[in-house]
Amino acid sequence: MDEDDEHMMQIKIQAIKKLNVWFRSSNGIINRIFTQKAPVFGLVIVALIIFIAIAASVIAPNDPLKVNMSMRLEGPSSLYWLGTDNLGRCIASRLIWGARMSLIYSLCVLGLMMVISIPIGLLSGYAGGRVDTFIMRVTDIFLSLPTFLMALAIAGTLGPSAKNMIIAMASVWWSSYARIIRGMAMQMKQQDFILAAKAAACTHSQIIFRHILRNIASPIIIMATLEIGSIILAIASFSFIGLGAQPPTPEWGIMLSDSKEFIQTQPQLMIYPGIAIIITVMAFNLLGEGLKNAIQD
Amino acid sequence: MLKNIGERLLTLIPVLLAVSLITFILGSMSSGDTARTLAEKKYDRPTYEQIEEIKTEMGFDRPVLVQYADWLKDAVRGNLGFSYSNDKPVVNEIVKYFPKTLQLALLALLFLILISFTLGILSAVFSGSWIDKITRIYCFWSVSMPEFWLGLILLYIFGARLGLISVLGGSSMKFPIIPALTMSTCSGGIYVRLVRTNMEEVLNKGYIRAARARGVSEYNIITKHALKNAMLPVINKLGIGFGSLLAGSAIIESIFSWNGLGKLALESVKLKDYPVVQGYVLFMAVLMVLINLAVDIVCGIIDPRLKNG
Repeated sequence: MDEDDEHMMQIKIQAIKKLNVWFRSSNGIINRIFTQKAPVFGLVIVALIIFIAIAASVIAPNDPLKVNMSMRLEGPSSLYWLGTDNLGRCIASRLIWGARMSLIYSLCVLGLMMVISIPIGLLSGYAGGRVDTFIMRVTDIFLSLPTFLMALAIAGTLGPSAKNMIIAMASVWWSSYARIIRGMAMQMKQQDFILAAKAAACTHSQIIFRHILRNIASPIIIMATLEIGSIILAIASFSFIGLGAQPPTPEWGIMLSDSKEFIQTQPQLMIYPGIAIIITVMAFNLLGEGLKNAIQD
Repeated sequence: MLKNIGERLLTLIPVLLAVSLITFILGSMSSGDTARTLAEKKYDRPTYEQIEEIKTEMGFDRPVLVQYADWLKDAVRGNLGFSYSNDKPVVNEIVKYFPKTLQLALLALLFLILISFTLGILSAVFSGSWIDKITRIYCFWSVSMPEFWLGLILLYIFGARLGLISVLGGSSMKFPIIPALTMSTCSGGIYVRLVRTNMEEVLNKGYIRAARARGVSEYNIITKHALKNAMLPVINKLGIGFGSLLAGSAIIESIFSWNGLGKLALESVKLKDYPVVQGYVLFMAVLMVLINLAVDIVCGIIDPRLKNG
């Protein structure tokens, strides 16, 4: 390794250390989170929900889709922990599977959003100039759209299904991410190690993907965690109005929408899924809040 | 000032063009379904030729951009097409249903202002007290709760239990108090927090300490000195919030069977009545953009510093 190369490595390591200090060092983000009570609480619940979601098929006492008309609207029992719904399906099992569906859908929305916004944001921040101006104009337009309305219109046009809901949500919500990622890419671009990488004749794609993307990956992941709560809420709303996942999928929004018919006689049907949503969203929000505070301090 | 407004109005044009183009392309993507639906209405069991005939009649066989140009030409003149389900002009439908949505949004805004200022000021003034703690719990809980769930719970309590509102719909309500309360409770957390942070910041400023030293009563300090200065960012946010109350009322309207524009739009989405959906999205987009502009102007009047900056 010649001197220039070594110098470049040094600079790069220093810059990464500076930017990732809150992620790795002794008073880094992980430790800071554990000094606060609420985020730890959130983290525990999130872990529990993820466990429930993964192990849904083992934990659930019954098949969430099995209709048993002779057991309609039964109360809680040892077989049906929370009783049965209007079609004799096990509510507890549907709630447990609902956790899996909610997490899968929200990860899909996040993933698709990232697939759209990361390349656009990186390109905009790295290229600068006219490309940047053009892309920023486009995101401006997207930011001023009434997002929920647009998602509604898109999901309605594509037809009601979970896949279309995911496409609709990602296609209207990507713009704010693209902006944030652009900002991070611009900051990174000014670091000395990028200059050094250029001097070392790295190609543009090498610089963008190897040097910039890798260094902003962890903030992007944190940003994503902040959003999961509101994504889960939006998914439940879409399913509730019939434009998201379709019955008989065990999904919390669908369960709530099914329960509306029985609001006068069987109010417990709408209590359980609502509480499941609140606990999940709250846990993700607590965790997100903790992450945000840890970064800002 | 006028020049600023003019410039802002010009920047609205690309936004509105984009909204209209997106909704139009969406509509034309599904024109096959639409032609079929229309043909089914006309012929009961349409043949392939009859569907094609409808397509030609409605102009669905022309290039999308030509269709868009025609639609835009009409839209500028205030003609947004005709509803597929009842053949009425979309503009008339919007004008007919909008007052209900406006009424709901205004009432929700009123509640939102009451909640956010009461809780925000109290929690800032009595920082660390039990009011502050309860407010913090409320803020957190309000952003984590699905609006439609609170709607269902309130419908159960006030409809099924107390019998104050009709569960099955029909306009038994004169004022949409419960729906408005639902909407404002769920979006209140953000504004309470905003009022609290701004108040706290202002209360720590030097001129507040100076006022205290002069012996101004605490009540006057809070209402006259602190609140006025803390209000500006809140007004700005509340204006934008009003836009989202208008545009985001669809689910609440359909839960409470409140016959507003949002409920109409949701039903139109399900019926694949695209002219109405397009009209609704475009109308709401224009409205939101205009509200944002109005908020900026109002803030400029309240705080002359913003005018030049």
